[in-house]
Amino acid sequence: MATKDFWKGSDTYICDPQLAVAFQQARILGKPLLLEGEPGTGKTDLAIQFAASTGCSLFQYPSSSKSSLEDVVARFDQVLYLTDAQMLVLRTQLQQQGASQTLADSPRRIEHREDYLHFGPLAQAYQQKNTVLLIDEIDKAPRHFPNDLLYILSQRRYVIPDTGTVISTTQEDMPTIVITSNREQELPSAFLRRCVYHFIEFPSPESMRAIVAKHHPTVNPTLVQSALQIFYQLRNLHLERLPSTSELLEWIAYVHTTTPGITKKDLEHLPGAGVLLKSVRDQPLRRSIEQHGVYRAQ
Amino acid sequence: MFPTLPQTFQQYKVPADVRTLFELQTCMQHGMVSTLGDLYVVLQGLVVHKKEMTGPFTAAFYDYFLGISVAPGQPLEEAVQNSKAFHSWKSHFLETSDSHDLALTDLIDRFFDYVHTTTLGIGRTVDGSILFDQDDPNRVDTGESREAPRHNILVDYSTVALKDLEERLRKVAEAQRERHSGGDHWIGTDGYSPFGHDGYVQGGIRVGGRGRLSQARRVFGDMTYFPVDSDAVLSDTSIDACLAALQGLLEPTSHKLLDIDATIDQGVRRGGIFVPVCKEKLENTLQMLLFMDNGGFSMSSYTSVVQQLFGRMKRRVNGNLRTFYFHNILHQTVSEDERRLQSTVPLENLVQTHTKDHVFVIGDAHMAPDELFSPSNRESTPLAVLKYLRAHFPKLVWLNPLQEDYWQHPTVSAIGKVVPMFPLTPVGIEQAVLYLNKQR
Repeated sequence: MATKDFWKGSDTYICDPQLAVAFQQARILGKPLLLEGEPGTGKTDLAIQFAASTGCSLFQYPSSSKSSLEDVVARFDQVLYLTDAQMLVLRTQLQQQGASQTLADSPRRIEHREDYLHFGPLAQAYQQKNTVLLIDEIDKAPRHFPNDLLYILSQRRYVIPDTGTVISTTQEDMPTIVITSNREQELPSAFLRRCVYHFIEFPSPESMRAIVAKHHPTVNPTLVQSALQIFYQLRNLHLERLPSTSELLEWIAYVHTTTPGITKKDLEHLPGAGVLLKSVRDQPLRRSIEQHGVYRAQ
Repeated sequence: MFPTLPQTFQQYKVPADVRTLFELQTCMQHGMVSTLGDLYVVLQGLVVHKKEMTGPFTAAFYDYFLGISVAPGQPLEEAVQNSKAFHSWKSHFLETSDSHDLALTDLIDRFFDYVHTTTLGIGRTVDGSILFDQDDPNRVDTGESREAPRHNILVDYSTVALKDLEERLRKVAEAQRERHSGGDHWIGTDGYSPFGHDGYVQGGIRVGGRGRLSQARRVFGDMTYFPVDSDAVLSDTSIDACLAALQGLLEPTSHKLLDIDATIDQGVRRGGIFVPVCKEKLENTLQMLLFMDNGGFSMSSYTSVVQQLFGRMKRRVNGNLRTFYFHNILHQTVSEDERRLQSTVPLENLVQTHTKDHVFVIGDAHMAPDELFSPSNRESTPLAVLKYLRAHFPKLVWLNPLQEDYWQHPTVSAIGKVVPMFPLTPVGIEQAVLYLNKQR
């Protein structure tokens, strides 16, 4: 992190001032920035846009239910190692027998165990300067995953057990790390303590209008206006699962293609509600909205 | 610096310690703190690790830095109004400012603006008088304007005389027809004109709205910031917290296993070159058994919310859940039917097939001692049945909605001695889950 200038967003990314402060703090302190917030609030985009606008190289790691420290740091390829060892034996045997045909040489050498390491995004980000590391949706990973990351994040050092290779960095050169979470599970408190935290609020109607305009510049403004009003009213009804930005965009696209001249009154009955309401528990409410409109639904 | 800060913050259950102070110092060395508002934002980034913690953090901040302590449930405005800090600020403000006829609420608003003025996130300050002179006062309103807000500048209109501003406001208000956002002329939101609210402006005239900088009031007025009481019994409001606690249950996932047969087979075919072959070992996903007391008045209010909790748990983790019902205490059979009339299953059968399951018993364990200690129509007492279950289900816990003060009751304490009992609260469930994860 050679550059510690205050980054306040770019032409393509509107960065809320509070988010900018949290991000700056994280970079100064060499800590990861943990971003939470509803889907579609630009959590993942921060790292991508920051890397693009500052010219840093970006390393991404999408978490999954099988995430492990090996994936993100380094994995020793034992299968390849064993295969090469066997090949070596075979090659010697063939030579001894004076066979004219020999096996192709391997680019790796058995004595160099490092040749068999596959470095993950975190190790790569640590080994270079001016890098950005994005660990996406860490709440999808098993609970031990954030705990396993504790040492390497706070001590900035890790020894790969298979080879003794040391991966380390300094507070000065620490990559800019952004971690996102949808909060499907609570993260361990020891992990939280090592992060700078920021919760991205759901966009206000004003910012949402700007987002819609960016995605659907051709859609009739009156349609957008009514769709936004209905969307925020819908979010006020006590839904099991709140519709997100991307679903609003899909809905507007759907309405725009099928019935571009729809009146607000018809729109209140949510044509194409399947795009917005996706929980079984919301279905009674959906029927009521389709019958009575979004303002009179119970 | 601020040596007693951690102590005060910990009283509000905000986790601050000596490391926080070091980190704060680093931030200050990088010039991030020049006003009280900056300090609020920077400290918040250091110690707030959950959205719900913002409320307690604000309370701790006001206590430590301003000496304003907010009683639980008391609005922040009220606490401010009675505080020493506000009064000394007020007398100073009234001496130096020419607006003497402000109402108390406006004064409090000004106080919040003062406390939360931050220089962070603002790239440069622009002198408002230049913008003001350039702006055409007779512009015609042609429709809704939606200029995208340019972030990171702050326009300071304090150099423009108040009466000029007021005159311009009157003119603009007469000409204005639509709502505006993000511009520099009309009365609107998010922009740089001296009129409106939520703009990036100092020294303008606020029209409507509540102001961008006063985060504290927004925080205190917003229900989502209030932390769920982690000792409250499971209810609709604490169900999410309970679910989060319950999700701590370790979920067996797939592991790679060496497939010895395939390795030997392929190695022989390759003429003695053995390459390990792995196969996925897929264990069953989380298996849960739920025994629920749904008899009697005392339990009826919990039944549906417990069903909801475990139903959501099951959907989240892709697990199996079987629910059985009983009245007061487990006898030798339980019923899958909520009315407990039919489809009864002997516990013995379940014990044979479900030994590795996570078993949750939910009930108040409150009954006439006779029912627990005396043998029912068959030989063994319900207490003996419980001991039998405990011995065969290593992962069994009892969750009790009753307040812990009442656990002295003979039947509750007797059951608590036989099976591990936890309160049916977010904290209790978390403890139960920790206990279950230790059992193998």
